Formats: sequence, C-alpha cells, structure tokens
Amino acid sequence: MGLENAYILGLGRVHAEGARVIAPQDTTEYTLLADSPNGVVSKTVAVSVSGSRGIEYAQGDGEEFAYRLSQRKAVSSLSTFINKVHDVLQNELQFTVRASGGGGQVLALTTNLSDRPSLVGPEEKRIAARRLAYRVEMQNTGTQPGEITCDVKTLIQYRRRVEQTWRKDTDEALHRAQAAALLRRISQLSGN
Amino acid sequence: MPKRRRANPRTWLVIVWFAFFSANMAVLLYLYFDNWIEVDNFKASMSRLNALYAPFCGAILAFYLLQSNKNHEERKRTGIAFRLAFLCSLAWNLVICAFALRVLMAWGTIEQSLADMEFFGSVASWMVGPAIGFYFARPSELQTSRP
Repeated sequence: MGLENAYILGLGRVHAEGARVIAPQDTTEYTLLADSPNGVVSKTVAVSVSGSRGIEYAQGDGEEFAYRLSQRKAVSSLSTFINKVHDVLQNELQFTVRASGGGGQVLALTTNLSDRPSLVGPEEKRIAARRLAYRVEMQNTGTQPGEITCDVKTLIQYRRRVEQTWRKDTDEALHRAQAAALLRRISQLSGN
Repeated sequence: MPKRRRANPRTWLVIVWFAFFSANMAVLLYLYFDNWIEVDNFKASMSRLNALYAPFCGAILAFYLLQSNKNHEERKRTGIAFRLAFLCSLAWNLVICAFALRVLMAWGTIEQSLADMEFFGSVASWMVGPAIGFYFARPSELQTSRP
C-alpha cells in the first residue's frame, strides 16, 4: 500500500501492520496517520469505556474557535510533524487531543477545554476560572513540496465566581497570546 | 400631649414582605451593575424572584388596600393570628434572604441559590400561605380585640 511513517496519535510510531494493546481509563479516540503518495491518510477509531464521563470538546467543526494565527513550515513528513504537534499538546500542555479530517484535506487536532488557572489574573476578582482549547489545522500548501501551513485557533471560556455558566471570552489579546505561545512552540519542532 | 399613633398590624406585614422583596431585588441589582452576573442570569433571577414573591405580596397588597378603605379602628391590639402571620412571614423571608446573601458573599452561585430559594420557598409556602390567609381573611372584629 506504500505507507510510510505510520503513527497512532498519542501512542507514537507504529508499524504499518500489527496490533497494540491499550487500556484507556476514559473514552478515547485513536487516530492512525501515515504518509502515502497521495498525502496523509488517517483512520480514527473510538474506544468506549463504560461509566466514563467523557471529555468535553468544543461543539461543532471548529466554528467555536477564533483568532487564527498561521505559520508556514517546511517538513519532510507531514505525519511525523502532526505526531510531534500532538505530543506537544498532549504531553507538554496536558490536553486531551483528538484528530479529525485528513485524506488529503486539512487535518485538525482539537483539544479538550482544560482549566488554566494561569489565565485568571490576580486583579480579576469576579472571575473564578478560565479554560482553554486549541485547534491546530495542518495542510500542504500545494505550492512547494514539503511546505505546510499550520493554523492555530483558540477557544477561551470564563466562569464568574457567582455563576455556573461558562461564557466565551472575547479578549482578543488573551487569544492571540495563547495562540502565539503554541505557534512559537510548534516553530521549534524540527520538520523531520 | 398627642398620643403616638401605632402602625396598623397589617401595615407591619406589608412592611416585612416588601422590605425583604426589595432587599432581594437590591442584591440582584447590585450583582448585575457591579458585573458579578451577566444580563441573562440577571433577567432570569429577577423573573424567578418575582414569581416566588408574587403570590404572597400580591395577596397581602390586595388585602391591605381592600381593608384600608374600611373605617377600621387603627389602634388595635394584635392577636395571635397576627403574631403567627408575622413570625411565619419573617422566617420565610429570612430563609430566602439568606440565599441571596450567600451569592452576595460569593459563597455560592446565582443559579444554585435561585434553585434553593425556589425549593425552600415552595416547601415552606404551606406555612406562610395559611397563616397570612388566616389573619387577613378573618373578619376585622376577630382579628383584634379591644383594650
């Protein structure tokens, strides 16, 4: 089938054929990525864990996300790069990540909404918590071989101290700062 | 020396109910205008608090206006019916007000406090409703006794 550089996101590099035993504690989606002559191919399976609460992702197909920041980057393997971005989101930033798209289209990594106490300033007496989610969209630019565009979008919600409702935060500076921080980290990743 | 005019017992009940209702509304207004809650929660809480108080305040106001037109003797001793209605009203309103103060002190959320207000308000309504009805619905001669 001519597949190279196969990864199961979250588990790392795998052979193009074979089996892996996993034991997730929560319902989890696993995405297999591989480079093919026609671009990146992907396949996702969901492993349901009965009794688990599930993970709260943003609704819809990313339309909740805003404040896009873009970067172009040269990579030799898009699958390898996507796997590295996944590692950054999951292992460094402690998000739960799921993949969507692929098959020659845009491949997106979307994180869960995760509480970030560092996003609540000490002067914000009325804000109890903020939570953050990222959506990273990667695709070949089609102009030069190996060149991709990487778009980072953010979703930030806040909850007031005397309310239960989570509300969308429209502070553009806050969004841009978070997107820029992730993009800086991504730009440090090697393209191979 | 002119004799000091004592308030009609019915007036005290009206004062208790409308003072606590106003206090609870004031808490909501403060929370909204000081940016502790947003407009959707403000509107919802105003509406729910109004619904909670409407049966009692409406009835008390109606009885008060209706009976104040009659030529009653103003200075009357209060009887047990008034005491009962007054104490039940005070207890009910203190409980409701405590939940509003809980939000004001940021010890709870507005949604939870409103749910608690509605729960305790409806659970205790069997106590307040009959006490008020008993007091107001009795003929005026039985409500009080002459000195």
